[in-house]
Amino acid sequence: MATGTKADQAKLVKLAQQGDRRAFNGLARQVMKPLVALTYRMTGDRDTAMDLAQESLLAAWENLSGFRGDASFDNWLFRIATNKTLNFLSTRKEYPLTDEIVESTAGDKTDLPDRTLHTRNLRAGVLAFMATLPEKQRLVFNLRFYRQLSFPEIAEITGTAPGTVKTNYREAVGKLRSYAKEKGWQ
Amino acid sequence: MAVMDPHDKHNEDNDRLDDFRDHLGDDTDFFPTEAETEALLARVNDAIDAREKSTAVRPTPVWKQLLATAAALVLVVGGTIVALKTGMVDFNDTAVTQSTAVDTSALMARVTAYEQELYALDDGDVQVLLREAVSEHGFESTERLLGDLTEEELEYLEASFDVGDLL
Repeated sequence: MATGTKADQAKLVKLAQQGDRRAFNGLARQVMKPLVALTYRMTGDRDTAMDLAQESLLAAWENLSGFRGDASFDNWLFRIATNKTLNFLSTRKEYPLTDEIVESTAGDKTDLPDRTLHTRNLRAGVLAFMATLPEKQRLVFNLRFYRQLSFPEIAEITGTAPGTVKTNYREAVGKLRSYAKEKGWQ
Repeated sequence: MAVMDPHDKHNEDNDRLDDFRDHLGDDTDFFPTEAETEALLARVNDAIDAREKSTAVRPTPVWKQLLATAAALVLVVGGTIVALKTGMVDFNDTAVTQSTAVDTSALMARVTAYEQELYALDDGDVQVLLREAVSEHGFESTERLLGDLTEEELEYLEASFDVGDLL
């Protein structure tokens, strides 16, 4: 969960389900950062990521009455965002993450200490690595590596079996190891 | 040489991956700024407002209902005036009403004739009835059958049918 306790979130969800827009905005603010990070890492494009986050929140508001609280609100929203993102990616052939975008993600290198610069390069490198993964593996890697969700939670979000999730993650990690070796990461 | 347990190897890999993630730190590059978050929320709220407006069922204002009634009245009255002026309608002309009455009575007469034709017994029917009664119950029964007939009915039977010595 981004911020706030589960009890606070449950209260906000209940109010939002009764049509309280301020409560819904509160929920949205709590989950906005990881939501945009999820769609950004999946699409590699900031504007697209913001659009998908917007669509996901709108769909969440419209379907809020169907949220029973079996999963956390975050995971329920991530599931919506995941479906929207995968639908979007299915209409597009290529991941738009070019070297240029990786460079801009790495930021301005001139004023940074070596250690920070190294870290930023590594971040950009992981992003570039993710671009090489098939969509499902990228999604699972994203949710496990960055969000640190459990396999059952990822299975719930992606709508796949936990065994399949584990297999996808192991394959992605194996590819990351090879990629790191190839790039000379230490 | 000690062989590493695969489970330990797996845990070691996970630990190294966790260390790597920790080394990368918070991935703030991917996070929206406060301004971006608020702008995105504003767009979401605008979209919700727009959808709610488009799906809301609003009652028709009274002035619109009155306007519709007035328009209907103008149409009916105007149409009548035009019809009267052009001679399409003449309230003094009763021809239409009379012809309708004639048609109705003719129709009723035809229905009555049909009913009479349907229920009337013809000569053949009477003959069959008499033969059946005689063959089944003899003359006494025949006398009982004919006992209730009036003088006129007997005369009609004598004149119209061949009943032998029965009467």
